[in-house]
Amino acid sequence: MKQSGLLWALLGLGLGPNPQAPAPQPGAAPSSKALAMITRPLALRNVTATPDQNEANPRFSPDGRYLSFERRSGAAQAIFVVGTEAAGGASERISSQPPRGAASAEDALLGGARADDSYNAQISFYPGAPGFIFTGNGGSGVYRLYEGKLGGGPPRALTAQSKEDGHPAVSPDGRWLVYVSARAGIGKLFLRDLTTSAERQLTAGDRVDLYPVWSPDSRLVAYTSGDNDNHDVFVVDATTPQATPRQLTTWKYDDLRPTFSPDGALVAFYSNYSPTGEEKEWSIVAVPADGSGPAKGAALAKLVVAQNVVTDPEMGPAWLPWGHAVIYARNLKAEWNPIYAVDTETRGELRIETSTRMNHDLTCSRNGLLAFRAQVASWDDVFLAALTRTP
Amino acid sequence: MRAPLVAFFVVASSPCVAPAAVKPGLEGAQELFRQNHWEEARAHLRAQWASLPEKDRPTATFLIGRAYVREAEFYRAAHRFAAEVGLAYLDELAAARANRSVAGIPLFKGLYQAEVGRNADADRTLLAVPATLSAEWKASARLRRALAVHRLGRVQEAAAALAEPAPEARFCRLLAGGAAEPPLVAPKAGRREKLLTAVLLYRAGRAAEAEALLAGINLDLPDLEDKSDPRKLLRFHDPLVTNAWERICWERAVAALMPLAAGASGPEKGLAAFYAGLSLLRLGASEESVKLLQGANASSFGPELQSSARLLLAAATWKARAPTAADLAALWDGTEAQPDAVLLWDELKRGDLAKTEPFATKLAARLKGLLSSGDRPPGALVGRWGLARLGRGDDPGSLVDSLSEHRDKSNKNKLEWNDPLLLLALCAASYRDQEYPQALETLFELSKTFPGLRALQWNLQGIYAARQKAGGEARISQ
Repeated sequence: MKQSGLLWALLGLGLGPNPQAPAPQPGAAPSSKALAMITRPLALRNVTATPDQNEANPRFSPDGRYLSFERRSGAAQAIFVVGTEAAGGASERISSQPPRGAASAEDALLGGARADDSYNAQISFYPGAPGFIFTGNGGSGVYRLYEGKLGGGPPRALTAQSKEDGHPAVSPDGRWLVYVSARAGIGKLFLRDLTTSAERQLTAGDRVDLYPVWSPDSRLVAYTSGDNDNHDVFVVDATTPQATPRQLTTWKYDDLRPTFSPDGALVAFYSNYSPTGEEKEWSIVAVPADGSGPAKGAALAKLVVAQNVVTDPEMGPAWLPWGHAVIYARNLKAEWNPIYAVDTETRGELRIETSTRMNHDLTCSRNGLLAFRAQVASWDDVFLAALTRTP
Repeated sequence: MRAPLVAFFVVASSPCVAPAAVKPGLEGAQELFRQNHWEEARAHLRAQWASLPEKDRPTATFLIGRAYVREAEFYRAAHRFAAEVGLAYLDELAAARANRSVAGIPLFKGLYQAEVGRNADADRTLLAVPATLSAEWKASARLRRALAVHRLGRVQEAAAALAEPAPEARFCRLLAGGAAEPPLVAPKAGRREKLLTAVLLYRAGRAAEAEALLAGINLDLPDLEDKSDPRKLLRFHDPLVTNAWERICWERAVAALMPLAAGASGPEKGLAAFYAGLSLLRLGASEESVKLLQGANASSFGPELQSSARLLLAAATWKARAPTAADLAALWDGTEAQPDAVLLWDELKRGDLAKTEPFATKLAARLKGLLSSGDRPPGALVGRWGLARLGRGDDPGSLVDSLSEHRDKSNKNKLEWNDPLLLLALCAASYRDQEYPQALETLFELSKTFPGLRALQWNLQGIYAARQKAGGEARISQ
């Protein structure tokens, strides 16, 4: 695997083959209405198809008309956006580093020493794309939020003074931006009114808050909070000043990267609790978003909906746009991380056969598209497929 | 087992080092160069030279030479920093009552005093080295004292020692500004002897013989160990090794660039002449340097190099005739817009010149705000700026803050994201600020790529241990 060695090393995850609980046979009839809607076989389209570059972290615009992905080039990384409706369309490159003037003769000889060497990631689209906000470092070591528009000019820093900012998430109604800032030394959530630019700190305390994500009604923000020893999942009401965050998990296991179900009723997240007791195995857990569910112990363990999953903290568990079902890659290296979907209510499971290898970074659009990363030869590409013909 | 998540959120979102899928040919080497992997860039080109298209070869040659220049700039800064730290370490050792009988301490203290230019101190210290030293080190003390005495203007007193035939004597003669031929027979053993002879061979234009001597040489070994106290091990590193290595880097740059500078026209010719001229200047070969800089076709330069070349050429004449205030003012007005030239100005202030503008006030003000323009400055420039400010004795804590602003927060010690000169400047500022763990951490990362930094690490760790007792826990294993 060529991608993301550092993060995996940091997370201490194991990626080796690991036999699982019995999985449904390929092609078995799905035991859930939500899963029955999935077209098989999927008609995959490689939207990047670059023979010598890595792409990762696909993200859809809220209406599903655009798909972004991140492409590495040496130490630099840019975001690219393509339309999803027509194959073969041109992509738009997005970067926080403004175009430089003409290179000197020496720059030219050295291969463009003034080439874009910025790092850009984590795009979040406005509900009516083409607007977006993303994290970038402008080619320097300072991470800020940048705002831009597809087809517009170079993105600009959202605030001139900001630094150590990241993980932007625009609310579904387009009014709010929640993001993480470590400007005071530790990552905390901040809320910005996108119409007035007024800001307030949303979370406090000495734990690091990461990966904020909005509920579909633009009211709640779910996030991960913790330290080097443990992380838990929290939800905070962003519309109420001084609201106290609700802690959805309190057990000893690491719980990372929550995502809301399409109706906002459930929150799914990765947990290193494993029903089999296997260390280094991760599960997906789905709990009520309103905090009415168990926060620890056997009761929470019963809410595990998928075991031995591939974790992609930049993405989080991917909900199907209908029902209460999650689609994920199972950590079966010998089988190239096959894709599964699970109905969180019936626990019915469906294996979705693809010809792709080492699947990662799964995400679904509201209009029924699936995007994910997989290896072609030794390079990572991004694939797109319609999950159903009649979404 | 808990899976430790990153403590600092930006690290979680940081790019991961891409696998080493280097593109073939010139393009791959250019990428490696931009990522500050200079040695790898050269090796990449050399490995693929036979299949390199003819049209790419001049550019590839320039890249090889430019990579040597970058390396030489790095080792020049490392050499100066190492000398400062080495002397401080020897001062710490000398202050400890328990070390009074360690003969290596006064010897190496004197060697470092000579290296940093404290010639009068070196003269005194090296004259009084203990009689228990080996003949080899007594000879070193005599030669290095001769160099210090020569620099103090007592040329006749130093002449006999500097005329000796040993490689070290010849090397000291070179440093004293004289001609020094390599010995007739190259040494077959002795790391220092080989290194010093290689420098002399390079100066004599015998690059291939020099490189043959350098093959397999280990820059990181200590030159003397003292185990007289069974509870501790003292290691001493001769600063002349770092000095010689810096010169080797400049010599390699000259050897790589001269054929281009003297060759047919092309965009590489003028640039090669400039960098070869700069390298020769660093080697003390002023006349050769001036010829190259004068012959360089400035039309291929950007404004930065034009200003730098103009300043270097003017400065070369100052030894024969001191510039007037009007000369300096005109030159300053014509070059001060370019940050590179401003940093060169800072190197040129010496003697009576320091009392004249721009040296008296204008330069300090310009230096202070040098990085405040809108554009993001290159990391190498930031590093040079930091080192220049440190050289002026500016507040190291403020400099750590300023330099850190230009470091990639998520990959703070990675060369792909940070220029080595920037990291070295940060290391030096942290050291001055007595933030030893930070300095050592950065140094440790740099030493993974750059050989020859072990002496600096060892000495800095020794200072840490002496001044903050906890530092003793982290002695670097050699």
